[in-house]
Amino acid sequence: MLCVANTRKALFTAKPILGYRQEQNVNPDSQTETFVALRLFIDDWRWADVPVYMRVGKRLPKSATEISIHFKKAPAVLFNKDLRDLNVLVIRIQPDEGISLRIHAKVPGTSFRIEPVKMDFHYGTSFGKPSPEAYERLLLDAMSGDATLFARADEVEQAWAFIDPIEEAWHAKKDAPELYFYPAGSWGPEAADDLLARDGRAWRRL
Amino acid sequence: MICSLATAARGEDYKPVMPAAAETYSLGAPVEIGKIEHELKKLWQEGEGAMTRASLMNLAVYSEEPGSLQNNTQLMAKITEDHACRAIVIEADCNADDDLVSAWISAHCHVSSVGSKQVCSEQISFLLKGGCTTQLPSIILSNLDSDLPLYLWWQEEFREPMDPQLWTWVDRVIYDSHGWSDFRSQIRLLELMQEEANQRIVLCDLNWTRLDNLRFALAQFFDHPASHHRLAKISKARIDFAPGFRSTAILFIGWLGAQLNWHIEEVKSSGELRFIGASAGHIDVELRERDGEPVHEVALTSGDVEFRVTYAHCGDLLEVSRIQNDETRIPQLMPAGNSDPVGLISEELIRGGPHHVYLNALNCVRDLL
Repeated sequence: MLCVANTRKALFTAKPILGYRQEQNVNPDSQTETFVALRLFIDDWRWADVPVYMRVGKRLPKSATEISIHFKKAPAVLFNKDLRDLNVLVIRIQPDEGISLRIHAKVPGTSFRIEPVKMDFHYGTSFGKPSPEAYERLLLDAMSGDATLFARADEVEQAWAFIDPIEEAWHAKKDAPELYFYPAGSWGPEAADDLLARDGRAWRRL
Repeated sequence: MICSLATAARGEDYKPVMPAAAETYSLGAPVEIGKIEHELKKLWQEGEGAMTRASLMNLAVYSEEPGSLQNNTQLMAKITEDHACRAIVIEADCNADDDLVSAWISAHCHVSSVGSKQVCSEQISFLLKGGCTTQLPSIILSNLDSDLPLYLWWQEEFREPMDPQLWTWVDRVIYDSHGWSDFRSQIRLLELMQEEANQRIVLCDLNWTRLDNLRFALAQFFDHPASHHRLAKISKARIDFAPGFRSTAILFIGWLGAQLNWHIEEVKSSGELRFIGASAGHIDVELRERDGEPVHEVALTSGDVEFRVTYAHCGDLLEVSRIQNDETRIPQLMPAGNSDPVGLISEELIRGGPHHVYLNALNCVRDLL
């Protein structure tokens, strides 16, 4: 079961491209959120105390769907004492499907310094042909009656069962949480950074 | 486009086999802003031969100097020989009436020292017109190579507003303080940004990097424990600097002051400085403007001994000599390093971690800069 520990919602403002409230046919006082940052926990013993951070938003600098697993910091680091970044395993869902592992490696030569390096696997280049676009495969499956890759009704219902209480709380007339604003083209409001900073963490550089 | 064997900029008329010819560098193929990643991928898919795309960092270069895009592309071609990176080169014309962003992609390929494999670094070039400060964060943030540090080489003076949306993502900001018209206001802006970014940004001053070899040359006199007592007896220092490099000379004095626990006591009307040392002795510092290297001679007097570091006539070596009772020992030679922009940046990129010694030196002479 997923529990919502902390959430942040926000709405992007104009800078330098149009903000949501400046778009045509949008209410200039709209309270519809365009960005969400969540801190989640999974309520079982295996995932106990492992925070899952999620962010999704419109008009961010890049379009990317990724899952990243951040490894714990080693208790003692022989080289750079001020090392802040962790080793990260990234599963890229789209675009540029693939997997990359960021590790810290000692710089060759006499220097006693470690720097982040990436090992990258790209579907597009490794197999010599690009993956089909998301809807290419789904449309083909729909035509051939193969439901393997489609979300089942019970899965969709579970997803809404999770989201609905959050939505209701956000839009409640009383005690609705504050709506934060962020410039279009940025990585969201400062409140989203604070959400991680409180735990001594920061969002990945995408 | 013609490229050298060692360095090749890949662009619209790129040919995988490069002829040996004069070094000219192109910005590469023009691309639509929204399709940069896609076009970069195509660039690698179309490339032939043994090529490896390499990247250890994002190196963004920002300048408002007209023509800097070409100049910085040329610098990048040389810098990427030793420092594989994703280069984001930006020229901004902030006074243009209309907002316009043009972009190009290219790659700098260098034959590695082992075998025939080429190691290539990507370059994305931007020409910004109009609202520079508003466009800059999204231009940089949307074109970073993910998970790699961001080094921002800011070639102009800093000015407000400094957008925290950008600066909080910067790991190292590289600048050259020797050209600053108002040192204090510039450093104040940087420190404000550092605060906003929770001290994450490392300040890298090329004006300080310029002093590296001089500092090493002077410090080696005192490597041996038997010479340590000379440090406490320093009574005079003289620094000869080239016109326009007073701040470089002051930083050098700041280094001595911070390391030896000197404090400024007096700034004389002649421009000479008087410090008070850790053992309450006075140190008189003479700064002389002379033509030559940015800081071309440094001399410390301790008792009856003078420790002198000066540029050798051949230019890329330092002569270090110890003079006692007017008798000069045979000078030794030490490397002077390369103080052109490529040399300074390369030196800076080799180093990691915060520059504590620089910050201490800066704090020691902050009021003089």
